[in-house]
Amino acid sequence: MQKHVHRIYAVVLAAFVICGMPAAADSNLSKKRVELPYVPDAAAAERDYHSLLDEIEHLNAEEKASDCRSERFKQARESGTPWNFCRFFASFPPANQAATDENIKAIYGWAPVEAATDAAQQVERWQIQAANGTPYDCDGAVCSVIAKALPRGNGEDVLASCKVITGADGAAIGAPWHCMPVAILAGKSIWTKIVAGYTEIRNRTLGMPDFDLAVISRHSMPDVFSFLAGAETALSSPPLALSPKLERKGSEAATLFGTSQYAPSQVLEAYRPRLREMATVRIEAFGEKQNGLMLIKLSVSTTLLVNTLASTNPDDWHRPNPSQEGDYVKAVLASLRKYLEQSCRQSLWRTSNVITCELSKDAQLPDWALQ
Amino acid sequence: MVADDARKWLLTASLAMTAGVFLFFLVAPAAGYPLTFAQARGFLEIIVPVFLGYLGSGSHFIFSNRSRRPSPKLDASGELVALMIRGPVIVFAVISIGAIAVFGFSNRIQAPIGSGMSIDMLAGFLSAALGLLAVTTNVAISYLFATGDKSAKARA
Repeated sequence: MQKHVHRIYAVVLAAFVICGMPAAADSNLSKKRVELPYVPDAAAAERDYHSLLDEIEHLNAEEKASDCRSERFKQARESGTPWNFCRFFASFPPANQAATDENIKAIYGWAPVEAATDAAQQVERWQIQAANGTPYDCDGAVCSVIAKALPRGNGEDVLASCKVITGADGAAIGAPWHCMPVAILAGKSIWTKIVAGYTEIRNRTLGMPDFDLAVISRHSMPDVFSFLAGAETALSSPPLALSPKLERKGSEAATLFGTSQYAPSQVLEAYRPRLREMATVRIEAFGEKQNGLMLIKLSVSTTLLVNTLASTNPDDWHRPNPSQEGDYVKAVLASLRKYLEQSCRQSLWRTSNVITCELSKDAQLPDWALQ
Repeated sequence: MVADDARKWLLTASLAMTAGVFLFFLVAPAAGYPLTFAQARGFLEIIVPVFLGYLGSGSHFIFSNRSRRPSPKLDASGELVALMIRGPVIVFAVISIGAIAVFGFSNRIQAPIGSGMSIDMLAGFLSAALGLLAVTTNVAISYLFATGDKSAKARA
C-alpha cells in the first residue's frame, strides 16, 4: 500500500515539474537579459578608471581649468560661444545624468561607485528596476528600461539601460534598442558608467541610421504625415507585418515605430531553422521647405532579435547574423521604396535614396536637396 | 542468450545508434528542425561518445586473443540477460526519439510562443536516457568485452 502511495506522490511531483517548466518562462524581456555587442567586465572598467586618473594627473594648468562644472563652461554653453571640450574631476556624474543637450556629446568612462556622485544608491535602484522590468522615464511611448546584459562572464552581472517602446498597458513591446551598459556588479566591487567629459557638436547628425530616404516634392504637396501614412502601410504590410505607432513631434517632424513581438519572420523565412522575430523599426521623419520645394527626410534604423525556438525566455532571443540582419534591412528599404512611390502620382528615383514626387524629370534640384 | 549473441546484439545496436544519431543531427538543422548546426553538434557530443565507447571495447575484444576462446555461458537465465542487454538500449532509443519529436513539435514555427521545449530540457532528457545506459549497458559491456589484459599482466 505504502509503495502505491509513493508512486502516486512521484507521479504528481513529476507532473508538477513538467507542467511548471513552460510556465517559468517570462514574457517580459526587460526582466531578464539583453544581448550586447560588447559586454564590459570589472577588469576592463578598472583599467579604464586608472587610465582616466592617470590622464587627469598629467594635465597641464590650462587643461585642469577645463572643468565642466566651472562657471566659464556653463556660460559658454548657454551663450553659444564655442567651448570645444570640458572634463569632469572626481566625483564624476553617473552616465544617466549626462546632459541631454543635442549639441553636446558625452564622453563616458568607468569608475567605482564610491568615485561617482550618488552612484551606490543609483545602482541599487537599477538592480531593483532590472528585477521588476518596469519601463520608466517615458517620453510618449518611448521609455527607458534596465536589463541584465548577455553574454555573462566571470560571474559578473552587467546592467544595461535600453530604450523600449511601450503598449497601451505600459508594458514593453518589440526589441529594445540603444542598449548601453551602465553598471558592472562583480561581487563587492561595483562599477558604474560615468561621464568623463563633454565635447561640443557643431554639425548635428541623426545618429547612425541603417539608411536615409528623402522625398522631394513641390511646396504645395502633402506634409510629412501624409508620407508617413505610406510608410505606415509599408511597415504593416507583408513581409514586414509590423504594428505601427506614430509619435508626432511638432508640425513637420514625427517618429514612426513598427514593432513585432514573437512573430514567425516572413522576411527571414528562407533561413533554416525557421526564425521568430522581435523587431523595432524606427523612422525619424522631418520636413523642410526651401525655395518652393519640400524635402522630407526619413532616417530609418532597425533593431532585430531572433529565436529558433517557441520560447519567451530572453536568453533565447539573440541578434541575427550579419546576413539575416542585411536581409531584414533590405526588406525594410524595399517596402518603404515601394510605398513611397505609391504615395505620389508621378515619382522618379533620382538616386538610390532620393525620390522626387510630382516633379518633372528635367526639374533641377538644388544641392541641399540631394545631400 | 549466450555471451556471443549478447556481444553481437550490443555491437549492432551501437552501430545503428551511432549512424542514426549522426545522420539525424547532421540533417536536422538543414531540414528545418529547430536546432542550429552548433546546437546539433552539442547533442552529438553528448550522445555519440557513449556508443563509440561500446564499439571501441568491442573492437579491442575482437582483435585480441580473448575473442578466439569459446564463449562461456552466462550464469543468469537467458530471459534476464536478454532483458538487461536489449532493454536499456531500446528504452534509450524510445526516450530519445520521444524527446526529439516533442522538441521539434513544440518548437515548430506554428507553435504558440512560450510553449516550446528548451534546449536545456532536451539535453536533460537525453542525459537522463544516457544515465540509464551508464548503470546497465556499461556494466554488461565491461563483462562481455573484458580482454583479461589486466589479470594477465598481474599474473606476469
